[in-house]
Amino acid sequence: MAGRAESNGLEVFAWLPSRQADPNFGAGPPSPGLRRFLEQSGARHALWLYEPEAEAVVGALHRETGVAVHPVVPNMAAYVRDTADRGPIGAALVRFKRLGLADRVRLGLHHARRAPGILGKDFTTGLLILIEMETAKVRPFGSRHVFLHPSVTDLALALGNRALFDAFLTFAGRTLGLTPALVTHNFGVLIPRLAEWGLRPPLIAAPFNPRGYLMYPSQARCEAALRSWPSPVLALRPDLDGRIPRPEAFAYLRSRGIRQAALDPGRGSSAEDDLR
Amino acid sequence: MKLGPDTRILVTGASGFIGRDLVAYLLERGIGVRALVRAPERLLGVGGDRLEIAVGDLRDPAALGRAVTGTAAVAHLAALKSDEPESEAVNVGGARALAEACRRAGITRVVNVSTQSVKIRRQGPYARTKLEAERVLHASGLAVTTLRPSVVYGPDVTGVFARMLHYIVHAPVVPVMGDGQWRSRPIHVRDVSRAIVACLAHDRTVGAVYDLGGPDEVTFDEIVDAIAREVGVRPRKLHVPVPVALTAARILSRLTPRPPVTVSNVLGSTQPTDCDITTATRDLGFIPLPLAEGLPRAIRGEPYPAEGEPRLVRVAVVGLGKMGLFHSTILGTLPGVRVVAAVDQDPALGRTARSLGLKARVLPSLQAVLDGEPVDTVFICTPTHTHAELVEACLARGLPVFVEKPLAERLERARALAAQAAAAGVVNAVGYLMAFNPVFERAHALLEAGALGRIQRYTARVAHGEVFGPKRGWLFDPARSGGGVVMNPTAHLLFLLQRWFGPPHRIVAETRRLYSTAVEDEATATLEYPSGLTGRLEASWSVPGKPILELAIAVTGEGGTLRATATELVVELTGPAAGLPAGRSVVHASDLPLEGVYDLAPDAGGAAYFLQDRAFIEAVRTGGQTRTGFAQAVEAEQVIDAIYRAAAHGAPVEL
Repeated sequence: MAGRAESNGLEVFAWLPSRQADPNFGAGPPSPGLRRFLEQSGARHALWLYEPEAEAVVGALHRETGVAVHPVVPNMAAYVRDTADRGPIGAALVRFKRLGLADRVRLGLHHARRAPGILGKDFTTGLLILIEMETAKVRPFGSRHVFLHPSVTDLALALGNRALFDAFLTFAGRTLGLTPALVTHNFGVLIPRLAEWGLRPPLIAAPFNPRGYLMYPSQARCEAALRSWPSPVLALRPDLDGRIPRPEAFAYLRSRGIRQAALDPGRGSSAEDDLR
Repeated sequence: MKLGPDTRILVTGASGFIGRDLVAYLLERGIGVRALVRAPERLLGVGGDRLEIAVGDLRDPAALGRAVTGTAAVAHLAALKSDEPESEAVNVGGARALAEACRRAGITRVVNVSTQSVKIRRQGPYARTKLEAERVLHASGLAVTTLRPSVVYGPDVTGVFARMLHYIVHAPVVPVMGDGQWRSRPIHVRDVSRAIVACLAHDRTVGAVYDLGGPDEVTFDEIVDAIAREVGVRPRKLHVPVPVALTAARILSRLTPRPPVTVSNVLGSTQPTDCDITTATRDLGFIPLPLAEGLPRAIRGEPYPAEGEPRLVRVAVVGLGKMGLFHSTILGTLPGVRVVAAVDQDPALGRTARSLGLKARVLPSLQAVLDGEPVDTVFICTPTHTHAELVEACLARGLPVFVEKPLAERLERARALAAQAAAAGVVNAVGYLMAFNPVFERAHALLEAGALGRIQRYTARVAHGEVFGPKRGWLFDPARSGGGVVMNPTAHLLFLLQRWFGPPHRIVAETRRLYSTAVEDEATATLEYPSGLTGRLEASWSVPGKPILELAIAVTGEGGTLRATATELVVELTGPAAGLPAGRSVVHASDLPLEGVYDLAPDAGGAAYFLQDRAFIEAVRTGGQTRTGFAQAVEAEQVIDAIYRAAAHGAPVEL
């Protein structure tokens, strides 16, 4: 685990992309491993992909440690799974029912004018509703940012859907009152496109690591884009879940001017683990 | 003629639609240019300091004399097109004056850009004067080549094409002269520039008159529809009878010196010209850009594709569910690939996909695509039981086809499709994307290189946390999906096993239902191979804590072991082999860097999706095959079939 000295100069986030993928998560309170991670890394923030099954443990994490939990929205994989079982309206209804009365009223007020978009099956309209429903469940845990999930960022980027980015950035700031951020695995493609569109989200999260792993379309292009980008960038899993020593990973980030990093408190699965 | 920095070409009409592009093209190729223009400000932004400008008019012999002096050849584009009273003086008189100026300056080479309209029977001022100009120049004794382009389009904001685009986007109705069935061969402006330069470069073209057009012959209505489709509007076409259009043109010509439509326009776009590009293609040595590639570029203001840029592949994607959207998106990131059509029976899905940014036209059936949309290949991403009919429709048209896995819900159907594909000789592939996973491929390469010596046994496992209760949808209906965990996620693993170890000859298997009501949730199987190799397979999609599909294969050989997942490979060898040292070696996905990839979902095989689609498109371009063709898919799917039979009978099945 990284000590505070190792992360000197870097603000550390805990990356909690999925309850099921993280052995530190369960139905109970935060595990000792997770507490130890927070203590040793000095992480005061966590990124979390909302899952109702893990709400209790994430809530406890926030209450007991003061860690601010920021949503990564929407949980598209869960929504697609639910849609297969219940249909799109059923899947949305399940999420709606999880909300408290105040959130339901707020949601209705925010989206009443979007009725034509809902009826017309407009993707962006549905996306914003889904985002608000999931964010409502996470923001009591101290959220200040809302991160657009990479599956949506990268889909919209590939399809050249500037309007979706516009809508998300405006909606997150004005309606949700949170600082919008984008998560991408294609940083080297995203940045030139944002520049071309004249968009400048306050924060972008993307893989950055000394090996160039998951830095698409290439490490060189990502680093060049980083040099040209004036806003903060949050490096995702720069230590490749322990495959690169954290001091080395952090030194790489510092040398590239990156001040924030998200680390996965759990261990990635490996061939050995899987086959033992 | 040798063209280079020391050669200076005079371009008359350099500030016009074609002229501007020709100047830019010549300068890009390092060829010197002198531009003869009346209004130099119209060349702002073209060429910079390297462009030499001569201000003058074709009717001014002194200016012409100065302009031609010191040049090696002339590209003659200048003309009046709007039936102005001076058309005769400029178009014919100008040609005469130009020829005279060239003779005096000792310039012999002229490429004259004319028009298809000179071939029409009933001619207006423009066609008549351009035809006369051709005669003047070819009779001048100079070395003249004449090009007669069809409708020219391009990314510039001037010209007929830009005007048409403006009407389609902004006007409530688009006037189309005549019945809309007038045929032309629209050609990209850059292809006209290329043709001019090719004429200058090849002396064999001297004296020739070439029809110049694009490879696609289309009607006026089709051009309007193609533009409208590209800009996402549905304009109403107003077919104006020719006599009415001519009357309107005559009236407009009296009202304004630059009318929006002239008599020459009407006559030129309602009479046949039979543009034949065979000779030009042969002599000039290049094939112009297809309209399907050039038109969208022109509308988006994109430049002509650079040299070496791959040939355009037009794709139709059938099915706009998760996989259809996934492939549409990835394909859109590949250079030279355009998803031009998408098919889904559910109009709501089409609307959602369009609102997400999919630019393709959405149609209700594959047949509608095949009947009306030029495509080079089809991606089929529909429920498994629909594959056969869709694949057969593509094969019947000789279209390369990609199908999401598995190929068919029943083995006999998969076999029939493979046989038909082989007979049709078309490129085909099934979405067994793990064959493109870099870590699994590294493991395969090590096995192929004999790193483990003789292989004795393997264990293979599929684990996924997806089914923890009765599920709905086609995937859980065996009549439509073909089966449960074995037919679906495990098919990926079985394809890899087939690729690594070849076909087994005996299978023992068991399947179990835990939550599903009609398909199996778990399976175990033992696969025996003729070589003595034995494999053990475990598969479940009801494993808690596995939100992402995990495939794992452990192989034991005489010389060591190998354990592979999608992200990591661990090899332990008793001695050095296949470039690896003795002992333990770990290869992580991060040790196998990928470049140029667009990754939509790293946790769900994203890079492999990209690599798979790229390999298929490359096969379409080259006529090659991929590693996941129908024939290979059938080999894996016959193992699936054998597992089901062995489990159903409770007895071993021989293959």
